Amino acid sequence: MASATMTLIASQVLGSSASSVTFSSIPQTYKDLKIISSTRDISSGNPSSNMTVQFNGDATTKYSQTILRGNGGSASAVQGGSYTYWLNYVISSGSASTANTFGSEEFYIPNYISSTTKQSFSFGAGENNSSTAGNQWIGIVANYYQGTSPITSITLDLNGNTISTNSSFYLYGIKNS
Amino acid sequence: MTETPTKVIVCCAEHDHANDPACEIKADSVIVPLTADEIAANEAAAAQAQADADARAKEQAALDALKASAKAKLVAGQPLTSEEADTLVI
Repeated sequence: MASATMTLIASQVLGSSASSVTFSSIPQTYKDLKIISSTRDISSGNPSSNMTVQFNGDATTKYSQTILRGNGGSASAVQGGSYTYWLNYVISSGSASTANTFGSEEFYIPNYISSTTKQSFSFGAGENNSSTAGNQWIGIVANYYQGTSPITSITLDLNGNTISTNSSFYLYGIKNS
Repeated sequence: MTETPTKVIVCCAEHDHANDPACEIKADSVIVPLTADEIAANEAAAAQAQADADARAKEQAALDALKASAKAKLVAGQPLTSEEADTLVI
């Protein structure tokens, strides 16, 4: 019986701050992709920030999402389309949060080499020891991308803000045989 | 002096980065200074993100106030407004 495998394709741990990380020339030999990251935003004044994801440099309005999020005090849901990126609400610990805390994020992207639209789920969480309500976030997101080209590059950024040194990004390829 | 913002590009291909003509960056990864256009785009995105965050916070505060008002009126046996009733989960 064939067994699934998960292989590290590439990784990047930032030695200095940067505005974005792009995985380019992604091999077209896997079934699914998985991105795991740990990030901190050092330019936002907010306790949490948004990580944005774009495929193949596509900044057109082909991205849509349904988001369930909570901050420890309240929870809410939002749905939207015609975005120019996928966004995960909770991914980064902003500069207003506890020093040296990082958010954790994960994206799962099935059938990334298909010539049809792409769906995905992602989640993220940022926790710190602040006693201020709203300084902690957790969320789960359903994603949809109308692009029909196989995904060959993925760019992750913090919506124009700066990603901290020591933030880490891991891209995995998953095969089912 | 302000540092020039940079972006990181990682080549995921399994080839000889330095010698394969297909490798666009000629290395496992490179750090590239942003162009003036990219810096301007980032600044605009960050400003928009901040505006969005402020709007979400305002929206959340309004919802929290409605919930608190609904709860207080329920406890006091007073009628709710339709907006307050909409905050109830039945």
